[in-house]
Amino acid sequence: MTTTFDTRTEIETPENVILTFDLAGPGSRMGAYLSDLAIRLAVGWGLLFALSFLMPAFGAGFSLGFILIGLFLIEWGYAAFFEGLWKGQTPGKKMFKLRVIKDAGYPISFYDAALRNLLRAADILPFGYGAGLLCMVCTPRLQRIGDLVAGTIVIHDDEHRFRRNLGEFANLDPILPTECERRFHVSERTLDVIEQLLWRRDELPRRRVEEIAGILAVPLADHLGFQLEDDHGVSRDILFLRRVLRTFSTIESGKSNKSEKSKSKIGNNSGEAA
Amino acid sequence: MNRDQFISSRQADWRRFETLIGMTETQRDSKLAGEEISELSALYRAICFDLSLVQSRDWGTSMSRYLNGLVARGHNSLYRSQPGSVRKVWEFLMHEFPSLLRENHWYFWLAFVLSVVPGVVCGVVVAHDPSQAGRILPENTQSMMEMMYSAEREERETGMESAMAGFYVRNNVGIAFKCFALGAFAGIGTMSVLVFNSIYIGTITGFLVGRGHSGNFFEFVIGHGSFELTAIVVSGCAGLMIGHAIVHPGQRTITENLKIRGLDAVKIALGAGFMLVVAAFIEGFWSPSSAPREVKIVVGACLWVIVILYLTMGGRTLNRKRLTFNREAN
Repeated sequence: MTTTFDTRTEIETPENVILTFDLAGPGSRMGAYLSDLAIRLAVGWGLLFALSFLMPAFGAGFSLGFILIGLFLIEWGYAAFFEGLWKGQTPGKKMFKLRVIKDAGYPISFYDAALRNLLRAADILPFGYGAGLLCMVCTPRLQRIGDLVAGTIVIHDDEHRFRRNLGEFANLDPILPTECERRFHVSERTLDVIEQLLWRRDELPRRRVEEIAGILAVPLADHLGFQLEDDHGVSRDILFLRRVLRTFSTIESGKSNKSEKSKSKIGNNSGEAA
Repeated sequence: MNRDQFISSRQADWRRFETLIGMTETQRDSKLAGEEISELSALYRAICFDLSLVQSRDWGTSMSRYLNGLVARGHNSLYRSQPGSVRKVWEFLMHEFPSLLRENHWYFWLAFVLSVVPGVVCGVVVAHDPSQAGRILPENTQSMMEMMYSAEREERETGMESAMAGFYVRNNVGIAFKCFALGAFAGIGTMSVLVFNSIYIGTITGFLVGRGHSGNFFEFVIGHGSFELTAIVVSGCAGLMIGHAIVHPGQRTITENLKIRGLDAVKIALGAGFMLVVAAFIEGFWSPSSAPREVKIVVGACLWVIVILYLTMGGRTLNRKRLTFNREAN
């Protein structure tokens, strides 16, 4: 696979497998930063508020000292602490599904977290993370100065689900080779695209699904030499795509597997449910 | 084997792997049984193979991304670093930090020169002619300084020791970390922080000496000065390491070089932070205390000896062992 999209990066693991990561850009990172800032400000205000309870109990000197150290920890320690503890995520990054990893793909250590976060003092210059932003724009892996020095990257850490539910096609009529004038073959990759579209039917607007189905179905029918009905019924293209899946995904390969397959949804949640 | 046979034969393993990896992500390692761990690593290797198979056969992006996610999670779990512990913090402060500093002593001496020379020059000039202090210090700072050190000790406010210690932690450690971070601008940021800091401190010292307050002043600063002044030089040392790694990467690329030097540098900067926390408490509690001047001078001298011994002797016995360990880790 080649890098075709500039917000992706590829990392080769020690097992000689190439992993692909989606790099996080300034937008989502700023969102995470602002969330963290809100949390830090809230804790800071909480500390100041606590002053009114601490003062009578422990005296002004101790209370002020306690709060000043608290503020110091929020300013300098917050991000390093969470990134070190939660494998590269602060609460804000968790919210935005971001994660800091080493540029070799493995998780960051506490020292990596400390390094990239101490260097915020350089990134923040001359104001509003100007230097950091400039650095991100100039580096292929969207790293700010702290990332460059610590050798870290920030990635989108979404779960990719993989769902199969071929059982729902079982009652469709397969396309027969006699219906097609050209080569009776559809590539696995095309089948995958159809599968993805059909499983996202509920997430996408209906008109959009039909539009995409049309874009897929017409050239595919042409490729097979299959005669689509002339009337542009609403579900003509979708029906055709479902029949293609029914025909070319080899669900006949094991009838006993079918019932199991129809139930199985491979995704993050199913693992815990099992 | 076609795509569907592949999926139906492999999906049980994928789900099992998800379950196990979910356990490592939410629980401590110790809760995973030995067989489960070996099962996990076997499954991980199998899934790595699955991923490369899917990639090479072009079996669609949904499966490839799903398996990519699984391998990434496994990679994250299997290659993570050891969790920290109190013993490790102790070992870091007592052995690793001073040894690292000695390994990089040339940066320390450069930072030392940058911190001492401008200050001494300013100090000597201003001590001879305190009116020159106006070039650096505004009038109200001058009068505030004079008030602070001409006043008798008894008049100093008591009960605010903790507050002052807290203030020094926040202020001084912040300055040290900034001094370190600015090393990323080719070391220039660090150098300027060191030089300006040196000029400022040198001028204040010269000014107070010139006005005849040297007794009160040195009595106050000798104690915490040991940790504080040294720590600023140490943080400068760490910043210069970063700067040098960027400006002169030698045979390696800049990123390669930072990978090796960056971690050492941040460890030294964290050590400087630790020293400043110690200094803050000395400055908050001991330095303004009403102990007699002679006691303070003696204690201050002892603290200087402690700092020098700490940085020159700390971790010496473990040095050889640690070095070999570091090489292996790299």
